[in-house]
Amino acid sequence: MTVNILSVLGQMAFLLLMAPLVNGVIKKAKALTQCRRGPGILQSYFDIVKFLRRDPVVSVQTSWITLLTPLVCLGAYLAAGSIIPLWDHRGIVFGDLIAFTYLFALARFFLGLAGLEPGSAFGGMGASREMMIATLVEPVMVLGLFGLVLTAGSTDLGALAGAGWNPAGALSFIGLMIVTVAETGRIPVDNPDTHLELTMVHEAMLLEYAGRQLGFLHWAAMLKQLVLLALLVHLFWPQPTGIPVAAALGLIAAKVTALGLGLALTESVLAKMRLFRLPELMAGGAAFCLLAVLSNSIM
Amino acid sequence: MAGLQEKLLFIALILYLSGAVLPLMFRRSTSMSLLLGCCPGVAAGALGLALGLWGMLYPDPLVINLGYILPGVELGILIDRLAGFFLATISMIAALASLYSIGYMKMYVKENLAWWSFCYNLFVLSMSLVVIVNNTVVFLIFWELMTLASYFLVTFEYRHQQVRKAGFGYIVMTHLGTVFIISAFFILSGGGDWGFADLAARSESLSATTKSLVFACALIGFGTKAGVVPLHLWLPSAHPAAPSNVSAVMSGVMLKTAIYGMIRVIIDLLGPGPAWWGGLVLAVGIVSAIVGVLYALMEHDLKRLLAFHSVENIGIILMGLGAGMIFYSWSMPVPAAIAVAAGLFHVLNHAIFKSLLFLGAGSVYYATRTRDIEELGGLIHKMPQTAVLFLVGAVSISAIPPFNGFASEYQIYQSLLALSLAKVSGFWSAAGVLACAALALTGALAAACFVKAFGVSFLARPRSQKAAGASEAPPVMRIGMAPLAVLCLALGLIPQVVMNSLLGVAAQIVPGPDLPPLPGAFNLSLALLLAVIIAALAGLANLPGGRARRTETWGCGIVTDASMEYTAASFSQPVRRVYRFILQPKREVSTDYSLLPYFNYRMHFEERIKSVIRDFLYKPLREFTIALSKKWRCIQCGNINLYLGYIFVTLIILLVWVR
Repeated sequence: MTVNILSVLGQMAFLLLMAPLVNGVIKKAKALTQCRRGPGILQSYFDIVKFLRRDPVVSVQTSWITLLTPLVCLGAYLAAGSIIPLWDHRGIVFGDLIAFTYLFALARFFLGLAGLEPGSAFGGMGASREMMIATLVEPVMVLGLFGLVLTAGSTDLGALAGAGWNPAGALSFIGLMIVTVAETGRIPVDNPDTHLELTMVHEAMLLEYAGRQLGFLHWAAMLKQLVLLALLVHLFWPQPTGIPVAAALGLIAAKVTALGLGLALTESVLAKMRLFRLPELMAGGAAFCLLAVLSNSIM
Repeated sequence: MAGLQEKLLFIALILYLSGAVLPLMFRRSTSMSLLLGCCPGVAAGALGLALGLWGMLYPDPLVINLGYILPGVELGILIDRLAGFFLATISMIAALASLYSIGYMKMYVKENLAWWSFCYNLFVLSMSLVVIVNNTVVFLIFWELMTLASYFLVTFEYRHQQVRKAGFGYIVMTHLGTVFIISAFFILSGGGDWGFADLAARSESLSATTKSLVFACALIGFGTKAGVVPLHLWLPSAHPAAPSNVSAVMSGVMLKTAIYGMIRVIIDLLGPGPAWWGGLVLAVGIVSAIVGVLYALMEHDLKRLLAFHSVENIGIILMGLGAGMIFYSWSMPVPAAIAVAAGLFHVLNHAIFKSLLFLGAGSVYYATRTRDIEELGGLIHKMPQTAVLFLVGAVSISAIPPFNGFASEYQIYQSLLALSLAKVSGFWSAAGVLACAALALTGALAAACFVKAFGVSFLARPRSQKAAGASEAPPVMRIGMAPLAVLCLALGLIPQVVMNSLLGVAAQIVPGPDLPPLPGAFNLSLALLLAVIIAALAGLANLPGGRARRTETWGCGIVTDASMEYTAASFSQPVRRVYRFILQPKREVSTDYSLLPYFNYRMHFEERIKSVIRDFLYKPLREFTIALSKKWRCIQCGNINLYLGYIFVTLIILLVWVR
């Protein structure tokens, strides 16, 4: 029991510490593909530390919801991350795909409320767009993930390890990559680098945040990105069994970074899409996932 | 021991009746008649809850005979596990709504409160009896009483034309539904005995076609009352028309009597049918869920919004039941029982969070006298406790962990996946996953809707004087809501306890081998708790947000005011646009340049959505009926001799026919 708790706590710590690094690598890679020097790969750590040391400033319109939201987001992504068995451990934590998906909904719900709370049009716009995008993303995510359940026979994340390592899985992978792009707020769905009101979704909801709370939210966003990538690695790129924990973590880090580089590359070669073209993109993702489901259910 | 329960039931009935009658005697004093109308309801509800739990948890059904209510019609009570579950749910919600009413109905002191108490108590009484009687005739009597009592509750504010119209639509639709229910019972009984046990025995000898006919009648009949798409049209107008405490009971539990009827007739009496029955129920559930939530998202009337969510949640319940029926037809009793139990779990959860939300909407109405969320805003500062209670309901209905809506949707997901994993055919494997995707879509839309509903009405600045002048609802109203909010969280944290007792209920309807108890699937809640604690600690590590500096919201250099806030209409605009193939929005924008050629002087914006179902299904039907009636009118000339002639001819025909 104690070992389990420790192992879960260890995984949480690993994810928390790893998230800014992965983000830094993606940013650096993006800069290099765009012929810029870019910030150092440790810059995200410095940013978080800087934010955490600053006192928060909030709008007079806000209530406890604004103050609670950063913690809920960080907590939800951390919980979602902790239920992926990254190394050979069956923790006390119940690892379930449905719970995983809905923990993201928990964070999104509160982020949406926090976007509306200061009463500025920017936050409302971000919240409204985010919730609309979620209605497109969540079904595709479920379709993609549950297509794998058909082969694995269970929604348990432990049983799902490497469930996508087959031809039909490749289709699911493409669909889920599109989902990941949307969920992490990257081009062509959203632009993580801008505060321009016409293009932004996620950043708009954070506009009224400052200081420590903004730091938490940035950290949460990086964590979300890492957790999603780790899930993809867990499902599609199976780890060898019976290796020591340190080796497993190193492998995970390498694989996640590799996927992250893929994200950076797509972001550099694509242009931001109009918001109302998104249904087409997500329909494409849904089509891939549907094909995977159909081939899995016929075979 | 049975003597005790008999007494309890008797006392509960007397209490409901006294709650109905006593206020009529004390109608001079409004506060007296209000107390006399509500307090017995609370006590009777508590007794009903105890009785229901007893019936649900103990294997032997409770059989009580309360004598004759009509010559030849016995009031036989049978509280088996299924009936016990529904009785407990109805009684619990009704008791809390009665408590809430003590505060809420003060708003209507100028109205006839004695009449309200009379209808309300009869309504709750008939709902409780509908689910525990053992005879179809008595069932129909109380079903009708329930409809009539709720009709008078819906039309309580009859001075508004809108309310009268809603009430009329309600009574017409539900009576059309009742025709189908009566037909189902008639076909099933074949004119013989009317007890449920007799019908169950007889259904075994029926042909497959007859059974399917009964199934169709029951689905349409009970579906009308439950509000499944496309029979839901009465629901979004009738529920908001009633006072909010009544809407809470109607939406929370009255719809569930229809679910009870479906389970009793389709699964319990008819037994396993062909797989398409379950498939049809599943499909109806999916359509109801998605259409219901999409229309909810377009609503700006808080109560209409909640009413559309009832359509959605009935759909989700039917998804669980449909999966159960499919398993039942495949002779797989274990997953069938789990799926039915998942549906029942959602019945309970929906009853809890929906009544919580309706009561919350009632408190908002009490404080602001408006239900239009575009006029609200900032209520979290004026009504902090109501805001928390409403938020709990909003989070629960959006299926967000660790609350109860998630717990039951989780079980329904598992059942739908089990449908895929049963590997009966490629079709069902794909269908199960697709149904899951539909449920995910519903969940995402519901979350969007409640971010809108809570965010626009409770957060940011007040958008009108009404909202600015609001104050916290009276304590008795908050006390009525609090247990529901606690239950939302509790059932989400320990769902396996509830699921295991519901498995007992389901096993009674879907007989099979003894079910293994479900594993404690929710260590998740533990994980979540852990994570939240860590995050909280991190937040508290130095300075909690309490010391945050407060300034004005950034408005690009100008001072912001409420008119710059995002409204409900603007919040839902992206969804309206993306799902326009269902919603069919029409927008009209006109700009007035009459003063200056380049600067607009006035703008007018209007966007409305088209009710596709009303236009394409009901309108042709209505026009057809009117056209047909016009043709038939020629036999109505108003001459009494002619009518006597009709009667005579009819008599002759009947005599010849029965010869």
